[in-house]
Amino acid sequence: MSLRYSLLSLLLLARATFGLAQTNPSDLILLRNGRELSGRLIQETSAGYVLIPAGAPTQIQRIPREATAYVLYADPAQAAKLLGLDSVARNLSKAPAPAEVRLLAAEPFGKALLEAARSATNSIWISAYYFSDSRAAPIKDFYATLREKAAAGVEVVILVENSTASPPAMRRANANFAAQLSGDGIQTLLWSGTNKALHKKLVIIDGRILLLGSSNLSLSGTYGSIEMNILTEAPHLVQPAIADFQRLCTQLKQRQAAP
Amino acid sequence: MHDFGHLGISASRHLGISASRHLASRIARHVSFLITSLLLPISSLAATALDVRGVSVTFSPQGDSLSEIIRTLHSAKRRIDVAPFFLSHTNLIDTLCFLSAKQKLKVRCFMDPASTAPAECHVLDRLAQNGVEVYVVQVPDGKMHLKCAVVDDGVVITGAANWTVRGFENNVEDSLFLQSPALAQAYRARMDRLLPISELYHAPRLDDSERFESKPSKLSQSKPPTLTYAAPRLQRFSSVRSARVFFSSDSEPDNGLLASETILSRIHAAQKRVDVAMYLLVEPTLVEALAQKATEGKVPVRLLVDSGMLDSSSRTVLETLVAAGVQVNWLGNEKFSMHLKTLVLDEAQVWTGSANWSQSAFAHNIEDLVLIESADLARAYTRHFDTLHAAATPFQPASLSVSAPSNAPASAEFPIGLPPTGPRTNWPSGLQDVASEDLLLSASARYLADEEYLPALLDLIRNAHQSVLASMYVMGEPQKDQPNLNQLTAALAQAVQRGVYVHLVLHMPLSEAVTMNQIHLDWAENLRAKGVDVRLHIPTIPLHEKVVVVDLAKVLIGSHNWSEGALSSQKVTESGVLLVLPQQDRRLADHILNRESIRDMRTPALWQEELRTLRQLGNTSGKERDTLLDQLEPEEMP
Repeated sequence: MSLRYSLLSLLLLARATFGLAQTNPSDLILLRNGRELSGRLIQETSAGYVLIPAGAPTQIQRIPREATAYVLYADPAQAAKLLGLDSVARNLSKAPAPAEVRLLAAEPFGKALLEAARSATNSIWISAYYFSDSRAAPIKDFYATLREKAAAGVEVVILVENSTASPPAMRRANANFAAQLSGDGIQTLLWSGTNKALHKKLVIIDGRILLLGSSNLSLSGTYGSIEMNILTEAPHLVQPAIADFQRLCTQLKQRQAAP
Repeated sequence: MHDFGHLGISASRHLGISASRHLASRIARHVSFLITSLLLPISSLAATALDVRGVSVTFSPQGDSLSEIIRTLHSAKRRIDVAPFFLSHTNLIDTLCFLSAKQKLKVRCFMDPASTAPAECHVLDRLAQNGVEVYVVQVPDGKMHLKCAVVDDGVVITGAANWTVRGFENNVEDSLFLQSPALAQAYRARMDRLLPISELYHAPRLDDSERFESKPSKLSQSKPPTLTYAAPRLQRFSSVRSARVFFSSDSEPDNGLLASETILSRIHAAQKRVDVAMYLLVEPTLVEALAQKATEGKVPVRLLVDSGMLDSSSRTVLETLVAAGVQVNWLGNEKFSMHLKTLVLDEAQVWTGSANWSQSAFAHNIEDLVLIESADLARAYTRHFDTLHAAATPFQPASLSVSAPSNAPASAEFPIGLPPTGPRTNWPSGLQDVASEDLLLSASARYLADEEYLPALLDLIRNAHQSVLASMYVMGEPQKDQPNLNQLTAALAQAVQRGVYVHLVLHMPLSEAVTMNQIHLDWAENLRAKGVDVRLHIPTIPLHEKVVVVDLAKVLIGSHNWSEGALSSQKVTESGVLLVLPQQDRRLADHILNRESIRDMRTPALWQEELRTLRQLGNTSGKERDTLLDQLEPEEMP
């Protein structure tokens, strides 16, 4: 197979190569067929990669780009430069420090959600697409916690989807559960009077902790399905989420006030 | 239900078990029924052939059912009794309120307790505030499942349709209008016998000024059709030989038993054809009767069911019937149901009403099964059945053949393009463990609301250096006008052209009837042709996340699906975050690449075959599942 290696190499300057040679951990290439190669990456072009395999310093492997799933560079600085991470990050936010973010699949999300709700002293604000109680922990304990917190004077507000965009059965289920919760002192706001669905899944605790992602506040959001959410306390993520939540509440109130 | 042995239980034994279970409560109620029974000997009426002057039939969707029901209600001079199971269609609520409040008719409405839930009770409030007598019927272990009305003393309306928007505008349904004082008397007496187990519903008081004043609004516009045809228009027939009605109920178990025995004998006696259109068919004796009829091979037996029957245990019923030679087709998805409960025999008789062929319908619920002997009516149903059966999908039992090992050519050292795939050998034996530990990252980050998502996503894809890995719950239904989705797919295809590895895992629903199934199959074919490595997630676990990982360092997480409505932010409001890590992290990338997906992506036929087998595994459990897994175990190569 003839490989067309362009002379318009992207990089791998001699300095980088030299630097690499001194660091012990290897570059890693995952091929699309699942094979992993490791060694020292000495050249990268638009056509592919040139690798000196670990343990065979006299050989050279030329790996076509179209055979590669991903490349994990041993040298973080080199990766950041190649992938433009610094400039993307600079454009992204003016926040001084990077955000600490926890990534949560279904089950860890359930645990983190409950923990966060239990820590609330002031307010719990929620935007939900679908919500439903369950006989199973942790979602059962989560709604029990919301009721307790509301009874203890914590402001608990749940904005929940009820637009005409959603199936009637789900709207009814949401409305029925909302009615149940408001009987327990929780403020439930039905997102109605519009054909635009509310699909934001936000939980904001004390204006300080933000949970956001794919999980609905139901059994399946916390058990048995593949979900991904984040939890963070970084103000530059929490603040815009709060503003977003308040904007939606205002929109809803304006719609309800309109004749 | 893991074997077919139970199908042989006789009707009397089966119903005897359920009857004895409720014996105590039955005896308790017998006292009150005795009183009404003395006045109205209805049980004997139920078994008697009744005179019918004429019958009209309409079908849904988009037929004349709604307008004909409203017209018939307006023809009332004195009184109307309705038992609609679900009542939520505004035009029907308006009509009942108008007739009660303005026309001063006596209107009684019998409802299932489900209608008193907070989201529904506004309907009952409105009816009651307009003078309708609303009764909430408490049925132990069952439902008040009737969908019928009696207008004055002459007309009965019945059929499969609940009085809802979905019922008349989306579903496949029938509505019958029977001109028959005798039937009207029987139905009214049935409703009277509900009074002892009903509570009169009291609505919050209302000012007179808020009472219903104007004429009902005109009919709401129908929604876009969910099927490619509209139901036939109203048909009237005067040639009715006779009619019988059976009301099943756990307090009157003889009626349900008599109904099922009559159906059994009629199926047995059929000479020319047996056509069943049934939302739910699981009652063992009736399943057995159909299987036996088909096995005899003298009379063709056709069955049309709702897609809900494809799920879990009811699927085995379909497999039994197909094996016996019944032509089984299914219809419906999450947007509409095949909701008929109809049996048509020999172009001579039609059975319809509220009852599915389930144990609870014959033994617990309050239901009506009406039998009309009319050649004209039967022919009208058969014509409609022909159309529906032809539009429906034949039920395919999963084949358990394991594909031969891949004969893919010996691969080059570094095979390029889409990765090679082949037949599955490790059939999943249970629920896959979802990642149980969380991942702590430190990253530059930005909150993305609504329309901020797509530009960020496109920017990541266009600047991708080596890999774009995504797992996605929904990839949108292709539409004519989808500029945002087109931008996204074009960006993915261009990335592939640059040599970037694009790997996209799509959710697959457990039921093939859910529209997303075909949409994602189509996307797989479309995008794989463009070099995107689309993988279909195994259908037994919901893939609900929406994650994109680029170059192992740039990550999008949130609620945005890849649908036009979400990407354009015109139809859905969403939130997500963009994370840019200071250095690469392979853990999230591996999370996506290690999703359990269909193994054999060589051709659409092969991936569909694997999907069918996985779905069958997902729909069985216990010993039956173990047996299936054993059969799937590939033979050791010598």
